[in-house]
Amino acid sequence: MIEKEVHNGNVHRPAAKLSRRAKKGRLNVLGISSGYHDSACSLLQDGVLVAAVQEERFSRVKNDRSFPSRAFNYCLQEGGITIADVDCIGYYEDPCLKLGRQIWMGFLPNLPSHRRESILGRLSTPHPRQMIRDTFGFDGRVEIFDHHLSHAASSYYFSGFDESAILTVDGVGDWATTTYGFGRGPDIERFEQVDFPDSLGFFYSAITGYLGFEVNEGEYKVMGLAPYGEPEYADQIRKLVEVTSEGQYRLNLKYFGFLTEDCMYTDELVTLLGRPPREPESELEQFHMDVARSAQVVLEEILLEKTRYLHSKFPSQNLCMAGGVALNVVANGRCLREGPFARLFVQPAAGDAGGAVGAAALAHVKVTGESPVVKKLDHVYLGPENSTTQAYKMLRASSARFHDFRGREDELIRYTVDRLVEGKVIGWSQGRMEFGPRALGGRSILADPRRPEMRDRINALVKMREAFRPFAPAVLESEYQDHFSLDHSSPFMLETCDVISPIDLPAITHIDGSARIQTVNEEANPRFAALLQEFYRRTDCPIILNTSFNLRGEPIVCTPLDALRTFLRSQIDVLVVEDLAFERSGIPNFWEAMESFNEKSPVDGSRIVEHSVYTLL
Amino acid sequence: MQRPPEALKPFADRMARTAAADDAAQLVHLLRISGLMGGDANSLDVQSLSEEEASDHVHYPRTGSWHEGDIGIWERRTEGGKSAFVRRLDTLDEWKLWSNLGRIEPKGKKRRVLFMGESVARGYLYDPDFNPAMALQMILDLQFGEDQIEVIDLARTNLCYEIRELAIAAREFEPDIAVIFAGNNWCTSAPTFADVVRIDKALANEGMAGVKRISEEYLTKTGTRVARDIASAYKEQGIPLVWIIPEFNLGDWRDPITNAPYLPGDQNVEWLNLYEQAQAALSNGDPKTAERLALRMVELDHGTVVTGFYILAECRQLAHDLEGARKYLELARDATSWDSSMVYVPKPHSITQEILRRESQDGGYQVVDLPALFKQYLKGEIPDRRLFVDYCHLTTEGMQIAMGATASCILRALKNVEVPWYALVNDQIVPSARTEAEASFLAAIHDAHRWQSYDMVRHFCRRAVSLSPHIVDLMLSYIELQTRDEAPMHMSEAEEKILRVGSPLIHHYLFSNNDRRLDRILLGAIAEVLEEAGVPAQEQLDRVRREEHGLKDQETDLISYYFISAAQQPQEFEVIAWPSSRFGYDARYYRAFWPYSRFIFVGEAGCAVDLTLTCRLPKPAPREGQITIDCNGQPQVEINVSTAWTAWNISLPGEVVRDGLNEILVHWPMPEFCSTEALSKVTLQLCHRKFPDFYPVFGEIHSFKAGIGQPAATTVPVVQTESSLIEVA
Repeated sequence: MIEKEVHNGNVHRPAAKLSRRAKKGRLNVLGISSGYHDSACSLLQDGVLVAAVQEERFSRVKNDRSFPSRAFNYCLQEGGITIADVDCIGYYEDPCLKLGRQIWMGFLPNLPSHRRESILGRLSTPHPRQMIRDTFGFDGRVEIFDHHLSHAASSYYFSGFDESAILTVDGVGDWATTTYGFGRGPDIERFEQVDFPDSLGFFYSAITGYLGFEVNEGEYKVMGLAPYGEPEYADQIRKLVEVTSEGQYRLNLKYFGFLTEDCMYTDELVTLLGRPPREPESELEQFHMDVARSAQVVLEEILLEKTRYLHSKFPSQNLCMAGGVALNVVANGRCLREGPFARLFVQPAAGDAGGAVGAAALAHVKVTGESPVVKKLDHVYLGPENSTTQAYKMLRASSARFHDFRGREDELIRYTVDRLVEGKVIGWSQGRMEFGPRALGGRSILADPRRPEMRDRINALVKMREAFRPFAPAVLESEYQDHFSLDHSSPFMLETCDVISPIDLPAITHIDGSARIQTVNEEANPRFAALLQEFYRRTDCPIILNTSFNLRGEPIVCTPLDALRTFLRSQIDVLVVEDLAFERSGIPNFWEAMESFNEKSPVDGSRIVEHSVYTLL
Repeated sequence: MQRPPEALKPFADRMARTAAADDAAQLVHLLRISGLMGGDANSLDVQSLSEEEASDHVHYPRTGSWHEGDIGIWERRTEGGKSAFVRRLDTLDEWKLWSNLGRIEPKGKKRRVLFMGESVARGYLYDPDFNPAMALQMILDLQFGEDQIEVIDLARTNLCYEIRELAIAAREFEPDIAVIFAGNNWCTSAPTFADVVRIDKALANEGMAGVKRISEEYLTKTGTRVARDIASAYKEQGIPLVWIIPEFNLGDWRDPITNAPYLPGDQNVEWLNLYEQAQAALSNGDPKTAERLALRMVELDHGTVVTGFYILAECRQLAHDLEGARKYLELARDATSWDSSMVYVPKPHSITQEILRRESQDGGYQVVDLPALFKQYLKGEIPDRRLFVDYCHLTTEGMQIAMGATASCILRALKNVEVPWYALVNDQIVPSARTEAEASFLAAIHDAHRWQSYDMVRHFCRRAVSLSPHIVDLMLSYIELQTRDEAPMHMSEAEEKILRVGSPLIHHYLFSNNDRRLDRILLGAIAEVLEEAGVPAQEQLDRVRREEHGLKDQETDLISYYFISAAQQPQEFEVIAWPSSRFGYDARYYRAFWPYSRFIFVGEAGCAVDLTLTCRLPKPAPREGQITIDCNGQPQVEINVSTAWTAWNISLPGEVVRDGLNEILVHWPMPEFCSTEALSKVTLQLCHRKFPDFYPVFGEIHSFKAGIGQPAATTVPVVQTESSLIEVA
């Protein structure tokens, strides 16, 4: 009844061989970002970025802000190391600086009690060092860096430049909201910053909230909506931001509510624009498009002016950008075209997730005195890799009918192209998952860009999102110049340019004739390149519509199972996971119903990011 | 929006730097919860604490989504001047916990019996095919005549102290009599900050015994209040009330064996030595010595863990002293009332049973005292699997007896006649053999997933197979369902096959509660009973396990949920299974709470296996200590480890590897038990809503993986089957 372990010590048995496990890599540095939104973890091994992933991909909670324990374990696994091999952990922001800003907010008179309570709550929040110790059991070296330094590092150290001006712009981290600096060799220096509450991120987020989109999430929708409008309200919107000398600007706080309210804007903004804010999910009118365009124009003007200022202080050919505002690819493109810098590098995970990469790079520099990488980041396939074996086992255990192309890649490619040409929408889950917000052929939804109905179909039935949202093209790197007005490759879908293709590409061409392109080559993603090659061979079109493999409000899929579940809940026609493919007709009837039923699993509230106001606390 | 003064920025930074200093965050938190900083919604109200001490005020967490004015999930609908009750649509998620009763009509001519309670009253594992309310209705029909009396089934699975609200509200159904079958779910709740203050003081003065005392006081206070309020509400309206005092499966149910929590001085070392010696004495056929040693264990741990009590009960059973054994089994049942970190199963504590007996005097209600009744029925034997499917839920036989006695009370109250309970026990009131078989199979699953013995699990498997042939296919499909775990259950072909059986019971219990585990005990028992029935299941199990979990395709993560669940070490499992959610553990790695840790992998006889282990000793600890690692009972390596994480490669020769399940045992060195320091952290952990570290940690593992090793050894090993791994009780 009660167990007793008998140690059979006196019987001679062959003993095992024991050796201390050799450490992989001379220097293993992890980077962590967490607490605001998009918690993430990254691993640098001897200065090489080998893994980076957001926690949301594992927890399936969009923008998950909780401590990234699963991302941490993934990074160890991907690096082939254990906790014993970790030399240092870099944390992406200084909690002390952030707390100072939060306490300062508490000095406001008439602050609502729940805001004051939140500030008190922050005072008693465990320090990241303690969180790291308690959660991972890590007692080693932990380095803390400030928020914008992590952003700057996430861009500069992976740009391939040996010197560069650096501009970081976001909502807020600790005090800074915009920083101006430069990198030279292993060193990054900042010479000026704009402090909270003045923030270009907040400016754009306020308009996002006013237009009825989720703050801190829907900003790219405003950017996508802008080309439908005219800058009719630019003069009014310029009143929101007073551009002052050097790198500075000030928000006109009478239009902003974020310091005291759970809303980004005040009634003054409503009065200024003359219309009540748009109800979420309500119809989009021309007015909303005009407001979006006006805000975009104002943002671009300011960014352009500030990049000129930065160049005047540090007259480099190179500019590195990071921070959430750097995900505004339209503004980036204008800064590059009209600004003084010849080259621009934007960290693909420019938001807070990228802070994990920046913090790891800074920790590497601190430990070694040297830059972590010597070449430009050439891909972001830094997340978990699909396992064909697991996917096969998953399907084998079911009664689903599927095509098994294991060992027959050519046939898989031909099969997929056949379906694309037939007008099917493909869920494409291959290799390692991308780090950052963009799907680049690892976890993508693909379609034929020549079909006029494709944009509306994918928006409505597949991704279940707003009809105006544009899709991006993935194009063979060898062919892009014949179709897009761009003189350099764009592997991360971070630049917009005009579509000049002789082929009519309605599904990926935005209303203003632009597209946000991704160039694809064999080195970075051989299977995706092979797919594009075959599509090109068959259709004379080297371009495929590429959008992220997720549904509205959900993170991009990570595992084959995530892909399968998303496939079931959408109207994607064909799912291709590694060497396996299946069509909707192969799915047992009750799967879809069961999947919808299982969808309503409760979510741990501590992971969820608030979308009515920026996460200030 | 106003801009705070720029001048305050440096001051804010200074404050932030101060707050970031060591322990400052802790201080702020304590100031907040003590109300000294204005406080928040959860802070301690000192005034109320003083008043609370002097009053019988109680608090308890409430489950369910009921609305004010409703009765459970039913809301009033007035029709023709009369009130019927219908289920609210917005409580849909809860419907499965209640009887499938869409509408409760206004009272008519029939006498009305309200039947309320917890899952035991719901007929857990039998409902909706069969349940106590159905059995009671059938007995009463025979006594009152057809259509003369109706039993309204208001029992709800997972009902706790909210029985108070339900029972009081349910008077609106105009019952002639009410029956309550509750008390199993009465337990301690997460401490309020006022409780933490008390625990802090108790720990300082009494150690862990003080924590247990506070927990028992809470149980006493809350249970008394609930029983008293219900009794007085019914007495006030002159509605007779019958309370069925629940009983526990003392004979079979065994809570997991654990180490003692932190004890003063060197007492943890003494306790562990006593345990080892008592075990040795039992093995050597010397129960007297074992008993003496176990009594000392209990003296040291103040009855806060089950371990000593189970040894004492075994000793008493060996001495054929059933009453002595019963006493210790009851003490074991009550031992962990304070500890919700352990795998919690509902149980009627002695305190609860005593409250319900005592309050019946003043409250004027009748009781069906199941402990006494079952003792009488079993002629003094200890209640066991004959009457229980698990810890507290009844078998058909158990329901027949309990409902016979309940009917006797109802006859006394409504007809003023005395009919002895045994005259009302009707062995014709039974579910179909098919239902009985499915309930037995579900019981096997339920018990196995709560760490019960191979013998008990096999009993219910065997019973299921003997009752209905359709169970064979169910079991074969279940082997597939549990072992081919890459697809979610609802996508697996095995689930499709199970669904085709068309059983409401299986649908209700298996698919909503099943947990995908390696199921070493359960699938072993299933395979054995199927083989007994002439069905070649062992080969299927071995093959599927090899295909899905063999080392050929991939490494096995030995501390993953699936594999750690097979180690039969629930405390360690909980940390892995529920990181930060249910109990709020911080650590996301394996912690050993026992001198050894067990791990399982699926191997092939003769094939070498490479293990990679990253481990350390907990702090505080000696600088170095030695761990030893066994494979299938054979010592393999000794490793000097320290408090720093270190990674090791261990190459197991093919000779020690078996076909099927293989067991790795890591023996940890004796830690330094710094009880005072450890227990001083408990209050702070409770303040942060973290589960406290009440138990010493012996070792920690960050990762432990098994992969295919060097080519097979040239000598062919003796093939041992995995069945030798299963400890038969």
